[in-house]
Amino acid sequence: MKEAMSTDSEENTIPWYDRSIRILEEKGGSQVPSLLHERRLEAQATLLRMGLPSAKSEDWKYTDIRDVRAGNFALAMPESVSQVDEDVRQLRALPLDEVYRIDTVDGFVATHLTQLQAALPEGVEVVQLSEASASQSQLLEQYFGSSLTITSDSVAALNTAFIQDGIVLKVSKGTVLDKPLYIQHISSGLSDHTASFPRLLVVVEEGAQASVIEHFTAVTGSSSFCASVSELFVGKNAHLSHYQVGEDSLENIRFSRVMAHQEKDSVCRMHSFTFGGKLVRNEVHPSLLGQNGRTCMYGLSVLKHNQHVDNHTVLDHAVPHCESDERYKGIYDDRSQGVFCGTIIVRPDAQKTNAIQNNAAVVLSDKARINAKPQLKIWADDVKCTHGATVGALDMQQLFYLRSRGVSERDAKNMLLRAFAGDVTQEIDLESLRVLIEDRVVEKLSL
Amino acid sequence: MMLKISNLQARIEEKEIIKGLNLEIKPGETHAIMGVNGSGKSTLANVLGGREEYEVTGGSVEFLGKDLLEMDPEERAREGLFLAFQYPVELPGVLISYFLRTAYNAIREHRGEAAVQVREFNKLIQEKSKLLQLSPELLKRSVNEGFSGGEKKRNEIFQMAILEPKLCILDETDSGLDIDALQIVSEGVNTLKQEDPERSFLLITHYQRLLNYIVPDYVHVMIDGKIVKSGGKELALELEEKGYSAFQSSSAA
Repeated sequence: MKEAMSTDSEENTIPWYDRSIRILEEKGGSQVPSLLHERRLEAQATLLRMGLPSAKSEDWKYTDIRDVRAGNFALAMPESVSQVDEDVRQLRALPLDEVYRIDTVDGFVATHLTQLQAALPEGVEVVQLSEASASQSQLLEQYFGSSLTITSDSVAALNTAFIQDGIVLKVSKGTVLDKPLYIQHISSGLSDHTASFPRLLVVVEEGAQASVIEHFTAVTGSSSFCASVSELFVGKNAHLSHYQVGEDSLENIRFSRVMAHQEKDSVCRMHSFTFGGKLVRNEVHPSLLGQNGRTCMYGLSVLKHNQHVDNHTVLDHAVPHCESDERYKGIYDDRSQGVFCGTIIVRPDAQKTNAIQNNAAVVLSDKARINAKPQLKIWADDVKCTHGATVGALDMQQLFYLRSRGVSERDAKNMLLRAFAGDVTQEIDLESLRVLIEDRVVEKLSL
Repeated sequence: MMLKISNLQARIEEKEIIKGLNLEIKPGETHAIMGVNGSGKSTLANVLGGREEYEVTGGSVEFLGKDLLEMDPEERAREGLFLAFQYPVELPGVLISYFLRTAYNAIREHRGEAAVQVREFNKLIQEKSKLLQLSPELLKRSVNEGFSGGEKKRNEIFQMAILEPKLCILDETDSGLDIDALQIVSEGVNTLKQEDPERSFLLITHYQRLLNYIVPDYVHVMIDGKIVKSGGKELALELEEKGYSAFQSSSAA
């Protein structure tokens, strides 16, 4: 499904694109495998032709990206890695014990993957994109970029145009990745307006299982731009849980696109948590391509000040007998803004689809603003699709009940907000991560 | 003096509901206020509880010598006032044990007592739940979520048993209850009465039936925002026999 992108020539001249493209040209195609280099050139051409979506574009109606268009961004360079100490990276990381951890700085892998590889169970491979050798070229040929449509996905085009590094995770047939892979993407903020493009490719083969956490953090408060793409391929009867935790600095702008292709009998659980960032757009696009698949999409945003989050989901029931459960919630204080556009497509042959979508927002101040647009595009006739959307302040009756028992107003509000968020956080399978996220919610809210 | 209401006037959205109400409750006394729908009896309960939607336009309320109307709802609870709601609200996602322990400790802190830990509190819950015949399974759930009407009312009295208030206001606790539930609730209230002879109760009700189970010391008839007649427990029977209209012409007490 193609969205119209701006073709206004004025908007096509985005100075930082040209500059960045030239820098990559000068470096030549040697840093990445030739396939990637080709894709990069294609994406650059598309980008120059299409530009960035304007406010007239339906899909970007509620999110003002003038700052990205006009921003004086400088492409991040591999040298960023050496500028951010292990200590600093450790400080920002989620204190999760039982995980395999990879840090990236401005999109460049900072952890020694050969060491990590040695610790992984048999059947699990982790590779750095810039080092992907001939042995992985088949994997890349088959999967890299195959879930994306560059000509209609701006975020995908942006990311692919400037890709320099990334991570590939492959979990072979029947293999269980015993501990989650935790990837911390740190924005270095070394110079103002650094632009980084983290990239992830996950292939979980038939009958395999894995969990992957992507965590966005920043070293300082300087303003940076990040466009990340994660492609998740879930094989027959395989199971993948993917978590995105957004703790970007309050000056950062981030667009993240997560694609998932599911084969039959598979389960994919996609979680998205947004706490930080000035402007964050989370695009989540799962496609059920094999029967009896199940997709779960859970999102929680907790915003204050002038933060803006745009949660844009497109779930494609392409085949019959699949189930999906989507639950996106947000808590908005001060002048923050939340956008939820959740589309569910049920194609003509997708009979016996069972899809649920729920979106709820709580506003804690007069100035917070919400835009919610659930869309059901149903072409099959024997399906069950329910959806609900609510926006409101905290329930006065519930607040009064708690206070009438001696609970302070502040504690009463926190209790109700925790209960509200709990609906989403309870779906986090990893106990340690769930506790962390619940704590973050309380911290962020601390009234 | 537990509670002293003097010439109370209150309204909601420009409509006058309480039009000069006087009432005195001493420690250890059980009072009943009886009135039809629209008489203002639930408004009285809500005003005493501190609901912001109701505006007090005149008069005063003293609770244990302090100005009640100046206090936030949570302060009133901490001072020892408990309002058992007519329609208890559901709180999905808020666990009963967590909520009650927070309330319990807030009240204890106010009294200058130390907070209790989870284990000790859970023992207290087990004990009191037997009193109201609430199963331990029910208590692991969210407050009032999925509870039947009777279970919700029993849960109100259960909370009362845990928080040990000085003045208990029961707002139409009997409405919607079958005989069995009514008996359980009444036994709970009577146990609380015996437990602390200084504890006072204000029962707000439409029907006389509840008063067979929880016997009041004083009965007041409320009509059109005022108490028109007060008496002993026989007054409830007289009301039952003659109906509210018989008291319509009486002047304010």
